[in-house]
Amino acid sequence: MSNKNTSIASVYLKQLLVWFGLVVLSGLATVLAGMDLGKFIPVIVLAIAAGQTYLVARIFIQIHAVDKPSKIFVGLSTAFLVVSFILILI
Amino acid sequence: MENKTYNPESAKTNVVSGMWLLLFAELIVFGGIAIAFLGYRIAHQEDFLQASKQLHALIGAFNIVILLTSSLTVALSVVSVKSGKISLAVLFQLSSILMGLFFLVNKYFEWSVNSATGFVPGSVELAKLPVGQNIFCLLYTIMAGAHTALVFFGVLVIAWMTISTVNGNVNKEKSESYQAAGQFWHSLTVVGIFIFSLFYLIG
Repeated sequence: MSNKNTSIASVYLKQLLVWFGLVVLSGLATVLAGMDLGKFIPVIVLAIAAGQTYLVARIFIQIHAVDKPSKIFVGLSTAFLVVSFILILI
Repeated sequence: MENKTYNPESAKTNVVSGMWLLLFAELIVFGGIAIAFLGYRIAHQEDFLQASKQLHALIGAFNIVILLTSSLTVALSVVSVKSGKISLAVLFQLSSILMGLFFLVNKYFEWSVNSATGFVPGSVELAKLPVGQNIFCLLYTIMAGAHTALVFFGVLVIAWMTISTVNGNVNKEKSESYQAAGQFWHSLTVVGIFIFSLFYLIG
């Protein structure tokens, strides 16, 4: 029972840390967008958004625990991000 | 009369398939608008930058923090349900509902300011601005409007799940529907992140 409680507490802690990381990344994106980084801003901001998406999918949605549909979903999402990046870099 | 019994495997398959179908639809709709945004941005880069300044990055950032916090409380409640800590799960669910409502109130104030300054499609003020700014405003209104409507729907779903949890219809053994509701809520957070990045930060 004690081991189980410790295990649940560690899951709570992990999710709390990920939330903190996500908030920090949002702050970082806001600060960087306000700096004079020219053409790099879209790439940096979208890269941070992609990182945040990965964290939400991996830790909050637990995407790895789902079977085939998750793989299709991740594939489509990645394809979307790649297309977005190509459009920006044109 | 047919005897209906609860089949956990069948329930899980149905709920998971339905939820992924919804998430695919969400990806196509929001992804399509986002790609349209990036496409138009190439043609109207300066107009998009000017239009982006009409939005309040700080309010947008605040909304993202609210959404991220609500995602945290939803994730914590799913873990609590799965581990049988029902009262803790209900507490987290209520926090999620509160965050969702907070987001909606914040959006209301943000749109009131936009409306007052004429930054809404069809306004006289916007009609005087270049076409690129009109496109930006239209895409923002469609994407943020649809997202806000889905957040409202999500709040109702979480509220329904909270009632189900209190009634004992969502518990350690029957948590599939709540996990699916959680996935839907997290997908809204992801959409929120991209709306913030595209419209408020990149512009």
